[in-house]
Amino acid sequence: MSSSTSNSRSEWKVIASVLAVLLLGEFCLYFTESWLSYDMQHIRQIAAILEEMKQGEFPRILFLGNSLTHRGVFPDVVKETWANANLSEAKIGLVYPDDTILTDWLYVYRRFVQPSNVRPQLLIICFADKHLEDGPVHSIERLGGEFAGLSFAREAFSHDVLSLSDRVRYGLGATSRLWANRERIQKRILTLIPGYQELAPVINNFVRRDERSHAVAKRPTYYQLARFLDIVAGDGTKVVFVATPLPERYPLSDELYKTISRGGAELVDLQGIERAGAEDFLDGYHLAPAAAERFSRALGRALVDNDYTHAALWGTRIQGLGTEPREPSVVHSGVMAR
Amino acid sequence: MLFNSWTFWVFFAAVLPIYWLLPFRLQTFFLLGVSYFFYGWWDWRFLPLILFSTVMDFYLGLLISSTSSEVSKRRYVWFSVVVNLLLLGVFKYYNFFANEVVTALNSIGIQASLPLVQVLLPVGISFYTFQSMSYIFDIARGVTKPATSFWNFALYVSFFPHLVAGPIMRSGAKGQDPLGRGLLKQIETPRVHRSDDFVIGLYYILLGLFKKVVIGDNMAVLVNTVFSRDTSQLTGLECLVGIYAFAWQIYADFSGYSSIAQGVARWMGVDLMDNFKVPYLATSPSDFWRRWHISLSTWLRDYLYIALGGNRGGGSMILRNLMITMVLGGIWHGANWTFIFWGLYHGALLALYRFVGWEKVRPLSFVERGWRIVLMFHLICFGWLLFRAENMHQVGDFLYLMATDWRVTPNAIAMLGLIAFYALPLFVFEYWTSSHKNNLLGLTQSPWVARASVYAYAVLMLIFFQAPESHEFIYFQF
Repeated sequence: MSSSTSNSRSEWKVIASVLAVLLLGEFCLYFTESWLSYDMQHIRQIAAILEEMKQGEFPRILFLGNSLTHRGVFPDVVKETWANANLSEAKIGLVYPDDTILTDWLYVYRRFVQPSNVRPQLLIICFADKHLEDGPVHSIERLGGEFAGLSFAREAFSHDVLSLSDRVRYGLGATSRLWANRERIQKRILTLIPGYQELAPVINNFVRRDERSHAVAKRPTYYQLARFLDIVAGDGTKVVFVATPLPERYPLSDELYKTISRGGAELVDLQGIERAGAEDFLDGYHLAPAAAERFSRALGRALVDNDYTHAALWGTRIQGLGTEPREPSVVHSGVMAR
Repeated sequence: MLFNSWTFWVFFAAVLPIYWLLPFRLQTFFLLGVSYFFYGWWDWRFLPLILFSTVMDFYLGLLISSTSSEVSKRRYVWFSVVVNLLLLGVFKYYNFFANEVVTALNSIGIQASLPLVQVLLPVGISFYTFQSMSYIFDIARGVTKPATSFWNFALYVSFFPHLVAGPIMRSGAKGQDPLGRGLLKQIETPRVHRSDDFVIGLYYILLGLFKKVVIGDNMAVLVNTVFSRDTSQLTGLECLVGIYAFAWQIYADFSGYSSIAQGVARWMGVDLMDNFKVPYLATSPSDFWRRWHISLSTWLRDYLYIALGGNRGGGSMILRNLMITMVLGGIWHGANWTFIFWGLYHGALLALYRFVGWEKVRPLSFVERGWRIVLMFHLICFGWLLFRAENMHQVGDFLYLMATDWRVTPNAIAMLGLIAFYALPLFVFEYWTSSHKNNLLGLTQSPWVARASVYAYAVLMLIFFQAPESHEFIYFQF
């Protein structure tokens, strides 16, 4: 080999320089990551949202979900339906980190909700399609960096992050802001490429379809969901899962109903709300404002009409009057339940 | 255990220090053990196959070298070739040929059925089979001696950095110096620390990871999106850009693997040959094959093309030899008509350039070299369409669209932008390094500040621009 090739000593300078660049990146990102995306700002506000919920003596409802909740749930519209039904006001908090599924929600609950002592009377999870099924973690980096962190690493490693490669990625996500924010930075830069905004949904659809085709052979299981319900029920909080509309209806399996029922929770299927057509969906996935308003109204009515949620928030309904709290119902209520 | 997985790097971080702490003799046994562990990680059922192939070729090599009878030598060589190709045939080609035979018989009214074999294709079988065969051929030709021990030969076949996707290393026979140091010779010689091993190994590994993770996987997303879409949803320009993306995907994916293999081996004091030399700067088909998958193209040249007669004989004989070699080269990649047509196409290209006289070596002006590179790149891209397409029907659809529909869509512009964003820096870098030095190691001989800048860029790209889906290396399936 050429004698002019650098030796190992000079290579340490190269490695030290690269590490210095990474450290500088970490330092800068630590102070600026809130500007990277609205989602990051929201995640940083979760503690404040929960603190705000604790104010006052109203019943507390926490919505935990993703962008479907963000775009689909208008708290004022939900409250309006309660006011129309002459029910007392409730305090609503919304936590909706983007592109999250059940695993992420479980750790958001463990890491943020439990220590805050908010103890909401009702936890509402707006989900769609396969969000509640057992499956691989959506983003291990974000799970480690934003939702579970180092404090829940042991629990995550024993349930959700099982391979060596994934554990390394989790550890990097938990310790490095560069690593945890990689997807956001990527998105920021790639959107500068002309036409990328139009191409991204096409690619996302392909990736989702590809994942679905790999998973199609397996029957869905819900062990993770059962674990989540155990944890939340242990805190005395009631849980309602709301199936949110997508452009195409998705099936809800018997096993899902059984798991939710066994966990003492309730499933409300709102896929059947009145639809106006393709314009109901902004980008082929999220509800447009007009459809979101209809959805929120339907959700508000469903919470009023459902004995389980009514009992959790306003006490057991006796001939139309709220009187005393009751045990969790596992019976699906009238029109909303399947 | 993929090179682009953390599992591999944890494995390698454990292997490397132990390896260097051991004395030479134990290094061989240790490397052999970890190589079998590495291979068994995919599926332990592959292990008996590689062991069988190794034992057979080792003892056939001894028999060939110990006999003076040419007839016996030839018999042993044929035995090795038949058994090795039979293994390849059963695992890789049987189902394809069974299907084709049944289809052909049915088409002429004969109802027939052949049993299909439900087996996994052992990873890297084509690579280690060809490597073992080259060892047998070299002994039979008398240009090399058998391995000094079974363990050395077993490590030569299974050395983990190059086991599953090459390069297909030679043993180190006489006349093979242009291909670099023979692997068997290196294994039989005590390793020495060279001062530049760490520097060059790091360069190869970073370059390889950048190629695979940043370019290969991101191009794969574009390619799969285009090739899996219904052609009624595509325009001709989108098809063309999809093929460009595949050209970069396959290059970055395969050369990335080779580069990481070189780096990993280099950190263990072993040199693996260069498998790629900036292939998209080729000005002619033969130039392309001197730059693309060099270990396979030189294998086919040395053991097939020359054995068939090579350039001897008239034009028709050369044409025949070229076509046979390239079609078999195509079939080596897998059992599909698209690979056969790909081989035929490259054979035809080689023949065409030869007979037109464009293969003659003469200095080219900058402009002439430029347009020849552009033309050759597009001819190669047509070959990639054959290689990537699901079937010949899709090839026809793409060609029709490219001939009739040149609408410029936002998707086409974005895909071109993404190709430029990911692949253009690599192309510029490789153009610089190939024109600057005679090898691709120019950066390792540059000031440390230059290396630090390039490495920082590569590491940041590796962190931020991993594709939504990580893919296996394409050549694992071959």
